[in-house]
Amino acid sequence: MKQQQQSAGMTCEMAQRLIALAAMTGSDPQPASETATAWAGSPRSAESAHPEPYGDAHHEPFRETRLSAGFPEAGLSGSELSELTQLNKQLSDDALFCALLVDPTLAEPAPGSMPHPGEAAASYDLGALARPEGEALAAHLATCRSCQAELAATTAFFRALAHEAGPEPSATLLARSRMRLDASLDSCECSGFWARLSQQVSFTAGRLRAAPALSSAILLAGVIAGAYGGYKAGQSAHTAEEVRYLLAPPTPEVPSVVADVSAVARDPETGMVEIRYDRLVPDVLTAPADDPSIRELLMAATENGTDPQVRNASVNLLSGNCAGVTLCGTVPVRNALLNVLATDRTPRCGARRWPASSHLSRRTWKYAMRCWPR
Amino acid sequence: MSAADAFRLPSIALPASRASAKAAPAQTLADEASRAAEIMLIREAQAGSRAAFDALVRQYDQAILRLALRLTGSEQDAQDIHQEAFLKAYRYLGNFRFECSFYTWIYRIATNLCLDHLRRRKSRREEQAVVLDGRGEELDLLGNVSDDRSGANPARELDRKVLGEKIQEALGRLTPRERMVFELKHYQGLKLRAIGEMLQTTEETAKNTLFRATRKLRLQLAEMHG
Repeated sequence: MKQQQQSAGMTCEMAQRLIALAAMTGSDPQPASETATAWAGSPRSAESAHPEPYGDAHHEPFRETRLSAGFPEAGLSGSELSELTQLNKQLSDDALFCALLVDPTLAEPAPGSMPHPGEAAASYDLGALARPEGEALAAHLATCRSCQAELAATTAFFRALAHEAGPEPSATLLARSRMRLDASLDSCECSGFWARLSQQVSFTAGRLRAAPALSSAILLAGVIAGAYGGYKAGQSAHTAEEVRYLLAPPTPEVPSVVADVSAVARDPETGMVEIRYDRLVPDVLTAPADDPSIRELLMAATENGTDPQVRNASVNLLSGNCAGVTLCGTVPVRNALLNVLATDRTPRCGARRWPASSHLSRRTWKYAMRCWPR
Repeated sequence: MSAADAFRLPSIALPASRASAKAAPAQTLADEASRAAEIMLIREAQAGSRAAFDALVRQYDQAILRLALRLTGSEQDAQDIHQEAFLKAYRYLGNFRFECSFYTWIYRIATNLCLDHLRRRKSRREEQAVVLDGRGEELDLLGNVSDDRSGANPARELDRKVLGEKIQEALGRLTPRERMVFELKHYQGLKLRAIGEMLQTTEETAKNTLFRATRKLRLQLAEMHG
């Protein structure tokens, strides 16, 4: 605050010198109506016109003061003009206090502090100033030379700009532009289905962009719905699997994964078959020859490529069972035996004739017994 | 009156007007009627009426053309912006949801096009100190300004011309956004709230931009004569 006061004091000194220099120009007073136009900013301003001058005793200082903002004037020497210009520039740079005349948002007053009356002056330019505010401002301006100078400089600046109002589009240019636009609109494919669809899509996208909360909610709802749907589908599949498992007929107990069958033996007295096989650890199963577990193990044993005895024993038992029991009619046993025959590399060309008791057909037997390799 | 006269101190003026306050209700009614008519026009145009759209164009195209001409300094560019702005408006009129006035909406389209143009030109460093007409010939901006004070005084005419050129040069040094805010406020006479809406920013931001632009212009004009 102290700094602000110092700044204001310095500004007032500069402003006094500035006004003194400006007073030497000695020009005629300006009509109030022109001032109003200058404040409005534009001679054709539609919304910010200030039609009535506020001419009372408070404003005498302004009528008496003349200010040049850097343009040569007959009443000033070169050095004075230079000083005037410099002061005007410094005033623009340093006069934070009075710059509020142009824009009240430049300085933010401390909370609870009294705003500078200059804040209201900005409303002159902004086109809205209530009467009491104007009176308060006028009272302040009557005593504050720096604000007077700043107001003068700002007003003069806008007056200068009002001289350069810029070009009004000529009637020819306007007519030409309208003709071009009409032609473009005639050839514009803006009302077709795709155009309207594109509009709709862009509009929807625009709405979503403009409403991030709504977009997030829609996305979240989609994620939740997807997760719930997936959960329900998984639950349904799990239930169906459970039902299928419960309704399925019980499978016979067979050794699960058999790595290898190491020995096959049959007790001639009891007819029991003993098979030594390996799972994770070696195991032994003893059961009748027609037991399903034995049959499974025998089929596994036919694939034993390292010990021909085991393979031959398993083939014999399987084919022997087939001779007396109908179990070998099952496809797996048949396939296992055929596989053994097909892969048997033992040369036995013409060794035997087809035994009529064989469960294999003559053709199959001959195929199995043919010389291999030739 | 010379160019320096422009910087002389005038007397103060206030906008408050008791007379205008009395006339306010009638003005308000007229505004409401005008707005209702415009809403009907927009709805008809949204329904596909080309005539209604043409009527809307006629209401605003001169202001848009003036803005584009001032900002671009070229009749050709101004025509392009004018055409592009209304084509866009026609194409996207279905998206207009009356959340702001049509005036603000069409100005927003035009200001965006102008800003794009200014930025492109700034990046190409093709600043033009003179205004070109449709045939590419130099256009005398000040020649279009009516002057009831000069009294055919050649010296004053020259001063005005020099001043105008310097103002144009100073305006050309502003950033595109500062230039836009200054033009809309000072030459188009719009309120800062409307400018904020058009530029899709707040009134406070528009005010700050206007202040920066004003300050820069004052300094630059002072430097030119310093």
